[in-house]
Amino acid sequence: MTTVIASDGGTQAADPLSEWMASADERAFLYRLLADVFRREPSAQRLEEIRTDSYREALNEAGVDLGEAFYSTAIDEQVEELAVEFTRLFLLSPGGRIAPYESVQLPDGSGQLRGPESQIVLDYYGATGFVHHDEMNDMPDHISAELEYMAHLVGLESSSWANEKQEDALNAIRYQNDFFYTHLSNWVFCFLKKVNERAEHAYYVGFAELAREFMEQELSELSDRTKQAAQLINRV
Amino acid sequence: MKDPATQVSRRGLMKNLIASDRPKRYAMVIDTRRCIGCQACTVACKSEFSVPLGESRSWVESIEKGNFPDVGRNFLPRLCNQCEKPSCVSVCPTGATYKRDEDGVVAIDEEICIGCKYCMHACPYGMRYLHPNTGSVDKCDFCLHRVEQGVAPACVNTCQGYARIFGDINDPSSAVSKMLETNAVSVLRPAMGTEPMVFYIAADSSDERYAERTGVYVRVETNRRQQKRV
Amino acid sequence: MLNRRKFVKLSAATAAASVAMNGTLSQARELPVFGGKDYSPATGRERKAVPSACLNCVTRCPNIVYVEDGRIVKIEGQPNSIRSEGKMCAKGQGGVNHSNDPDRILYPMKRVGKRGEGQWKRISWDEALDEVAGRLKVLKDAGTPEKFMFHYGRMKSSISKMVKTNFLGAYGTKTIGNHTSICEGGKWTAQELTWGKHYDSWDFDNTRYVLNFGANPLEAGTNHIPTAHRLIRALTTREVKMVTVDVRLSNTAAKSQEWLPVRPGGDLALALAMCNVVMSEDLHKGHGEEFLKFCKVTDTAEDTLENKVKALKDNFEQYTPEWAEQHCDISAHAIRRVAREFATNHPACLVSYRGAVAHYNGNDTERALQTLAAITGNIDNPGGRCLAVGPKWKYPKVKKMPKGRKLKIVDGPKGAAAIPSHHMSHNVLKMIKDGSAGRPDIYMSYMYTAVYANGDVQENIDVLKDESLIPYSVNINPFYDESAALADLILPEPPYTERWDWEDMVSPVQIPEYYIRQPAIPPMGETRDFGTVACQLAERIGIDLGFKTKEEFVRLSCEKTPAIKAVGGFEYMKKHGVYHDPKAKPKYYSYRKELKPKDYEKATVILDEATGTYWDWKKAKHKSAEAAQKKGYTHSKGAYKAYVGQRIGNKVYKGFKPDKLNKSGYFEIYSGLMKDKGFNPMPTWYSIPEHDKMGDNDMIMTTYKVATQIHSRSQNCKYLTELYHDNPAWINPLDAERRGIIEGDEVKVKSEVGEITIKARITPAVKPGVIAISHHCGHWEYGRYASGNKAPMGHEDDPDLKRMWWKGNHGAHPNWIIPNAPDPINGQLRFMDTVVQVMKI
Repeated sequence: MTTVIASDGGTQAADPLSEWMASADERAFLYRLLADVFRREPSAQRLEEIRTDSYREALNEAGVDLGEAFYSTAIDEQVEELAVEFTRLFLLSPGGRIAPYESVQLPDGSGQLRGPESQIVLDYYGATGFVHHDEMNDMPDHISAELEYMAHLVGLESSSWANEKQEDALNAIRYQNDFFYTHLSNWVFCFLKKVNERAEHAYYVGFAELAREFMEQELSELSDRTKQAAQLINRV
Repeated sequence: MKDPATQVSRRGLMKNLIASDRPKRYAMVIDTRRCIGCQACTVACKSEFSVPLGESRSWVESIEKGNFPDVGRNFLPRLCNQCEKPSCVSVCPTGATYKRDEDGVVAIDEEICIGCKYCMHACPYGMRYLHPNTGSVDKCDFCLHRVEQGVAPACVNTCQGYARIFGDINDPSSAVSKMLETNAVSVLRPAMGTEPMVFYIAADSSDERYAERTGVYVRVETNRRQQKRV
Repeated sequence: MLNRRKFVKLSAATAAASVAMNGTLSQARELPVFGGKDYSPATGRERKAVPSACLNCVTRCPNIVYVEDGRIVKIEGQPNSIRSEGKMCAKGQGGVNHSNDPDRILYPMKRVGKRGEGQWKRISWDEALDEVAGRLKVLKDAGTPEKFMFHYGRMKSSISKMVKTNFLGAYGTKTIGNHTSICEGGKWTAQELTWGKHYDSWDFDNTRYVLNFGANPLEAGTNHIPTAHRLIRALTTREVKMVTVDVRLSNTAAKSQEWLPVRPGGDLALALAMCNVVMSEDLHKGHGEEFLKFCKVTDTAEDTLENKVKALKDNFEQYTPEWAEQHCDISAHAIRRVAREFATNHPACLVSYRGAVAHYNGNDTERALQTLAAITGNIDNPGGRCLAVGPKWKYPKVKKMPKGRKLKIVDGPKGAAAIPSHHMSHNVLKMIKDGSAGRPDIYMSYMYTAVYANGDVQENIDVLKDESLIPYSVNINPFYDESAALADLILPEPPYTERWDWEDMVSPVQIPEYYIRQPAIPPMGETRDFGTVACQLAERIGIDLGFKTKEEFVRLSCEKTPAIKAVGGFEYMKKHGVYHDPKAKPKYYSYRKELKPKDYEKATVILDEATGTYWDWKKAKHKSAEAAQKKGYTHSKGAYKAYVGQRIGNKVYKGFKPDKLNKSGYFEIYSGLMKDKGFNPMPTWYSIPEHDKMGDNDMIMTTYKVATQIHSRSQNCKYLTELYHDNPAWINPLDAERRGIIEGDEVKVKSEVGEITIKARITPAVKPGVIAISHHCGHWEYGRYASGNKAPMGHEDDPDLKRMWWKGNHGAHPNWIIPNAPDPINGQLRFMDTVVQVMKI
């Protein structure tokens, strides 16, 4: 807990590190949430959660309104609807699906499934000590994997703040910055735009919009965050 | 869907958390006990900025003294002191050189500088030089281009003894602040009244006058073209 | 007033119902440190970072080379290296100057006119390769491949395996010279006689006391930055005490708590006396005694502790501190005190290098120091001097190689040294001049300057210039040095900033680190990596090595080396530069490892009763076990390669594995090999004959290195040479006064071999009776920054050339007056023994 002497001579208690930790926790949560949204169709349990009042209010505050119809449909029916929509959006091909992979979606990329970009992402995970488990028989550059990876890095940042390992927190922030700008940010926006255009169900429209807002925020803040963290812990 | 009230971003929040509107004051503490005279910092600075031969922005002096077999050698890393009351700024006719409000670094705008060299004469530490390519005066700026990106100054980054400690002394929890709280420090030529922001631990101020007075051999070497220590 | 955050309610709302993380990613190891970054001061743009490896000295620290607009602009340390921990010395950073050196050689150059005239013409690679390959083929076809001599100075890791192992091996010549005997060859031989392998790695991170004999780790060294930054950290953050024994106050001595100004060659007396103090005051008890179990101290393979202790006491009894004082000029009182401090602060690190070893009596100096470390239990322990640990790369090897032939010219004249296990490179030109062992038809030198780096410069020049002695000479070099100037053909190589390699220098944390070198920019001009050139020569001669370029060799090695392949092979190394196994444990006490019966109970493994050593008779090329037993391990040629283990008591240990010499698996304080050659088997005092015969007015010249330069090939780096371009001789005020010399005077320094003129620096930082001159200056080639002389085909595109304020002031080279005289036991060049007369001009 540091005491800051303000220019008017008064003092105010400021605890910058706990604020950093809280914001890291929040970002990690969002990354996990969004990874889950794009990984699989939502379960009944998940839908119940989302339909609580507090969640609804929170979504609204975050700028997402799923619409009345969403909250009044029967859960069983909704699970079915969303399974169909998820399949239509991300799994059914040819002719329509938005293959949620960096190698496919990257503008000026290979456009291929399991393209060279996939290996590069896998190498990135490996180089930073992460193992990709192929249980879902899916690619390392699937949107949910990349979002999950960011969640891990942000989680590392948060636990580093908690353990007062500031250098480690800064290190984790640097990797977030690097991965975001080298990989995720280069394709996630055009991916989300496509989802927004093609999605018909309010759930996917809404969460795609949430994702977009969050990604925009990361885009505009991550590099500043890196510099400020460096300055905060006097690595200049 | 965008509520203007929520438009204020995380960035604003961050700024509030880090010393709010109060400006920084970059400073350096140099612990000469940890300096081994390897000159890595001299070469780091030289190459970072492609400083022309014959000039230097940062260098390491050596002070050899004693009578056999009681002989010692100490090292004194030097760089711009980013003074609080910089003589160079007070004499500049064009305002090209100025002390930055946001962090206290004494900067030079080479577009405005006319190369009159008045500041070079005014600086009590010999830190400024005329750059042959631009015709303007140049000097150490605490590697602002690196610091702004969250990377340590070139000399600090490479020091193998961790003799150079850099940071914001307006932040009481910074490493420089802590070192200043717990060590006896000195500055160079305090009588000049420039209030340097580079503080030394165990600086060896022996010179020829000391040698004459005590009969002890003293050799001060600047290790650069300008052989006389300023 | 905190600002509202958009998503805060969202995360709060679902805090209880946590998002299930059936993740596809799991964290297997800690996040590595994020690599370096640098930015352009002019534009703020990020500079491209290329992880690579330095080669401005043998330490070969991992580095990051920054490139901007296709130019190398900065070099920094690699933060992810466990060896250098992100640090880099001045020398390594000065490497930025190589690529843009205006005196660089960019094209193959063929001599026009007489050798040494300095007239050259540019030729194409095809012409050059055809010419060289043509001559190589003639020799090979005639069945005399040994007449192709390859002499290298610095050739390690992948370039060594590519050229020495593969190319020269497939060609069939073993007339291969190195430089080790001007460096620390003597130290290696002495270590081969005691613990078997070299390097000794100093564990400063864990030590409590450092005793330094003639080394200067804070300015230079074989593992410079990895040890130097740990040393200053130990001294300043843990208040470890360091005592330095040196004839002058180096920077290392300046940072030590104590400087013991020893007489040149007196280190041996000092070391013997310290052993005497340890043994006579029973300070060997405890750690030392424990270690003695693994030591051979008498002629009996397995002797009792009692006998060993008695033998040690008996041997060192005569070397009292009072006796030593007369030979080393350090007081008996100080000798006792420091010996006690060293023995009672455990663990303590004993450091030694050329200052102590490059003497007539250097062999036993190193052996005495090894003994001092052994009897205090400071061998291969945390905090002590350890058996160095480096990575083991696997690499492509040509399967079928002819039996190599060699001219016997790399070990000096017969009998000049008893055990020259690292050759006598400084005598190669003498041997060629003599001719009785034959002469090479082709003399090819790589990263080696025979002229400048050895003693007796004039003789070197005379031999190299003489076409009747050396019919054809080829020099491979990025720069025009004094030896390139005397060649017939120069093949231009890019500097290391433009080359590929895999690298393997040792790690002082006793955990191996793999790393590579990669070009930060493509090779400039028509320069070609010599590894690639060797493949091109091989092809023209009709030899298929199995790879075509150095890059390919490195890539294949990455794929062949299991640890590297497992993490992603070549691609991983290109991206990260360094790799170490995060689960690896530091290797200490490797000699204590017990072997399992299956390791030594094999059909071809027998026990040599005389030494207690298990060895494989088949690997030692014996016809049968009986034949092997008859000859015995010690006297079977190359038997050390067949070493399996050492029996001690009822166990068989890994022991101290021998190298180059048939030593047993014991740490041999008593050396049967030395005895066989007619020397005392235990460390013994020898005085230096020239010093015994010195006149009252004579002085002893010592040479040294500074923090900003390496021996001979960094002086073209303008940022380094700006800092150090002049090397005035250090003379003590007493000696100066006697000779009427004042500061800055020109003085003449004369030895039996020649004389030089040099400026005087009067300083108490050198012992009276000693004149100290560094190696680095006195170039007459190597480009304008080094010597003021432009290289042929040098160009003008460096504006700094006009700003070279030290032009005309390039110092003096001491090697002109140093004889190429060897240590009589190991062949080491006696850099520190030269008797000279000094007079004012």
